[in-house]
Order: sequence, then structure tokens, then C-alpha cells
Amino acid sequence: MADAPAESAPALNRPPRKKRHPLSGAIYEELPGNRVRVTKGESWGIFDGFTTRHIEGPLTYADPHMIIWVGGKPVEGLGHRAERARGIEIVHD
Amino acid sequence: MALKTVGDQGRLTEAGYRSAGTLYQELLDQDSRPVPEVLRLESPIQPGVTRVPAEQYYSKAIHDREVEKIWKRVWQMACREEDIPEVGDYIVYDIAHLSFLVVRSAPDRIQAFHNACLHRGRQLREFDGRGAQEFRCPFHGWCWEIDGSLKEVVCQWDFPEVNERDYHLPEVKVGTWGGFVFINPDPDAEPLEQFLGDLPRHFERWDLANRFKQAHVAKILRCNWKVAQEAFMEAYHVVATHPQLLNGIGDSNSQYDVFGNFSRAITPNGTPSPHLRETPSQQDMLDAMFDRNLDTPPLAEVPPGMGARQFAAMLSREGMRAVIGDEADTYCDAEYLDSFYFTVFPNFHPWGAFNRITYRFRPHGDNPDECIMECMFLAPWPKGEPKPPAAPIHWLGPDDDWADAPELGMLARVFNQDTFNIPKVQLGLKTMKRPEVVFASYNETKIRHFHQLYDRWMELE
Repeated sequence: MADAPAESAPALNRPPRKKRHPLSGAIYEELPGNRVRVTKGESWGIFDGFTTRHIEGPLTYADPHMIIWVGGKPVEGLGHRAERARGIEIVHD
Repeated sequence: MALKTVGDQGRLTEAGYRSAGTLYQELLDQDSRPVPEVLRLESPIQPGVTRVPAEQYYSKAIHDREVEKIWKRVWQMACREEDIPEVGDYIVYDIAHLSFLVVRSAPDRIQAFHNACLHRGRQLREFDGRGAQEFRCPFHGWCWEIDGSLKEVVCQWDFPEVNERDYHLPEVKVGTWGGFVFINPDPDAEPLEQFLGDLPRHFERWDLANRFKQAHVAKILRCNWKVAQEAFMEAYHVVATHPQLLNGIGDSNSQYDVFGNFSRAITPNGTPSPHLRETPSQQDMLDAMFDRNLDTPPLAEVPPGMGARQFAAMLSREGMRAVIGDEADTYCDAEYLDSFYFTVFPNFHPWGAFNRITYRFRPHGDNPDECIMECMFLAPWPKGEPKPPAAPIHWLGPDDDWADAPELGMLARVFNQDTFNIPKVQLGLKTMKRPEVVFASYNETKIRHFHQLYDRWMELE
């Protein structure tokens, strides 16, 4: 199935996730429609936030795990700042 | 030509090669509170890489051998005691093609039986249940008391040789530790206490029996059970699989130890990864721990003169005070911050201190390419209040997103990163040209230790 254009997707109802990759310095930014924009230097690419497949742009590969982190499905109810600041959610796996 | 060393450059210590970053024992020296003796223990594995044949992860013959050599003989965690709180409560514990009924047969007695009717072999129960007064086979109606004694045989006159002594439900050994119920199908097995060895000493300060099961999520994964659990037995994968954490996690400077039938990893938080080229600020470390996004305000700001590690421990300690009262002051910073993840052979992974995680990994039926991964959250509850009921199991299919289990919080998204890899590992193992995989001398200590025990149990040595 062809990917729907990002412009037609409904806007996010929360601030977009946005991260700098701690090793490469690339910026990963969540877009509406389960997409992630990656900007590295002068280059950029847009990727599917679930499968990590490249959608458009000259940058055709980016860190798949960073794409998933920025673009993956949100967890309902997560983001209660007070609870997270309590340190209960200090996790890796 | 020598290989280029990426990230952590490593260094030679008296114990062998270790990370160039701050070692865990050095971090403990900076703790604001006295550190428990068990955290000072060091018991490294013998140096050397371990090679494991790739076919161990997909061969049906290996799977069949695991059933005979391991699952029919080893102590294995079946459930929590609070999963069966009342007399007559039972769970069905399946492992490969084996099935067991674990039942509370008296207020202070838990028994386990082979889950099959002694008439024609039908499974007695397929699902967990409450308040059973008997186990009646749905096929022809043979019936047993919940303590396994034969109660009724339909048309008993047609079975003149069937008697209670010979047709008691075959029982398997049961043991308990830390609020967990273990079973062992081998009648000649050593006692659970002997099998666990020194493990209870490690958990003296973090008594898992005094926790309640806050969440329990099980997901079917398209990979072998060993592929799945080995993805959760080291912090070596963090640099590639969880890069968003690197500013606030000590990955390659984790500590790994082995003790008899179990192993331990300790991964510090609130300290930067030794892989980073530049040391992040204390605020950067805290932001990574709290998953702060760019262009958003911080969840909390590190006070001047305080480090991220000490500050995060303080926040966590104050959070726990609401639950455990002033006992919160008796725990050191490390106990609030760091990940203490144990592996008890073959598939049980309790975590220490206040991290709530316990994992279990097991084959999904007899398909060596599938497994069941489970994550339980075990949490303390406020003193003086009754123990909350255990959360029921929440099943996710292989194509479900971990975020469909919001009870896991942020961990659900971390799992999505892990499980993005592992079905592809299962495929890659079948197409890789080399016949074996290789595990690091130190960072993959726990997996090496597992395979030492595995080879012994499988009689592959």
C-alpha cells in the first residue's frame, strides 16, 4: 500500500517528539502521519515512524531505533510530569 | 591491519580489560549513603569469548532436546503466589508442549500437577481459574480433588483396576521464593533452596515477597526464547538500540558477575555512556533519563552544586517515601537509580532494588522460531494498607505494539526498540555464513554464563 502524503495527516495533539542523536548529532523530529524527519548537516530524509522505511528526501538511511523512538506509537497516559520526575520511570530494559 | 575501536576505548585493569569509563565500584564510592555489601561483591566470569552454534536458536532437534534435558528437569518460575491467593485458585503453566496445573490446595499449601486426565489424556484445564473445588475432565468426566486425589470415575464398574492410589494426579515439585512459585517436573531434583544458592542473600534488602504484581504483560515474539532473553541480559546493545539513553546511562561500564546458577548485571544511570565523544552536562544526563525533547522545558532542573545522579536519586527517594515511609532513607542512591538485573537459569530474570521489572522467556509451544516474553512489574504498596490484587496477564500478539500495554509506561517504547531487532536476528541466524555467533568476554558475561550452564544441562560439553 502506498504511503499517504504527510501533509494530509491530522496534526499531532501534543508537542512533537524531537531528539538530537547523541552520537551523530542528527536531528530526529516527529511529523504528523507517523513520519519522522531526519536532518543531518545539509541533508534530510523522511521515514516511516514504525517500519523505518525511507519515504522521501536525499537522506535514505538513518538510525532505525532513533526513528522508532521519535516516531513510534505513544503510550496512553504517559507524560505525567510529576510521576516521571519522581524517578519511577528511570528505565532502560 | 588492526580494527578501529569505536566508542569506548577500554583499558587494562587488574581484573582484565574493562571500559575506559567510570567503573561501577568507583561510582559507588561517590554515593551519598552507605552502600550495601552485596553491591560491593565482584565475581567476574573467566575471560574469553564464547561461540555458540547458530542452529541452537532454530533447530527443532535442539528444541526437543531442551524439553527433555531442561524443561522436564529444571526449577522454573510458574507464577506469583498472589496469582492464586485463595484455596482453589489455579493457573495453567505451559512450557513447550508440557502443561501443568498449579493450584492453592489449602491456605498454606500450593501443589502442581501434570495437566492431563489419566483416562485419555485430555488437558484438564486450558485457562487459569478461581475457587475450583475439583478438576473434572471435560471429555468423559473423571474428576479429581484439588489436592490431586481421585474423586470420581464415571462408570467406575467399567474400570475395576482404577484406584485412588494409582490414579492420584501425578504431582510435580513445588518451591517458593520471593513470592514466586517454582515447579520442577523432575522427582529427583535438588531442593529449590539449593538450586537458588546465594540468590536470597542478594535480595535481602529488596524482598520481592513484599511486592505486589502491578502489571503483567505477555507478548508472542517471532524468535527463539534464547534470542529474546539474550537481548535483555546485557547493556552492550544500548549504544545501537537505545541511543536516546546514552547521555544518562553507563552502558559499556556496567558490572557483570556470576554466582552458581545465576548471574547479575548492574547498569548505572545518571552517568554518561563511555561511548560519547564529549561529556554531557549534568542537566543533559537528567534530561536523557526523563526523555526530554528538544524545544521543551526540562522536567526538573539539577540544582547548582549537585550532580544528576545524586539529584535523580533524591527525587526517586522522595517519591518512594510516599509508599514506604522513612524506610526510604535506608537505601543508597544506587538502589534508587541503577538497574540490577539477575538471570536465574534458565529463563527467570528478577530485577533488584526499586526497579519493578521481572522477565520470563519461554518457548511458544514447540515452534523454535517463536517465544513468549513476559514482563511483570512488582511494586511495594503503602504500609498498613491491604496488599492490592495481582494484575491479570495482558496478552499481546506478535504484531501488536508494546504501547498497547500502557501499564508498562515508557518501558513499552523501549521494548519496541528491542523487539524491532529480534525477529530479524532469528532470520539472520539462518542466513549468516559463519556457523556460530560470538559473545563478548565481559560485556556479554551473563549470556556466556547462561551457555555454560546450558551446555551442561543439555549434555553438550
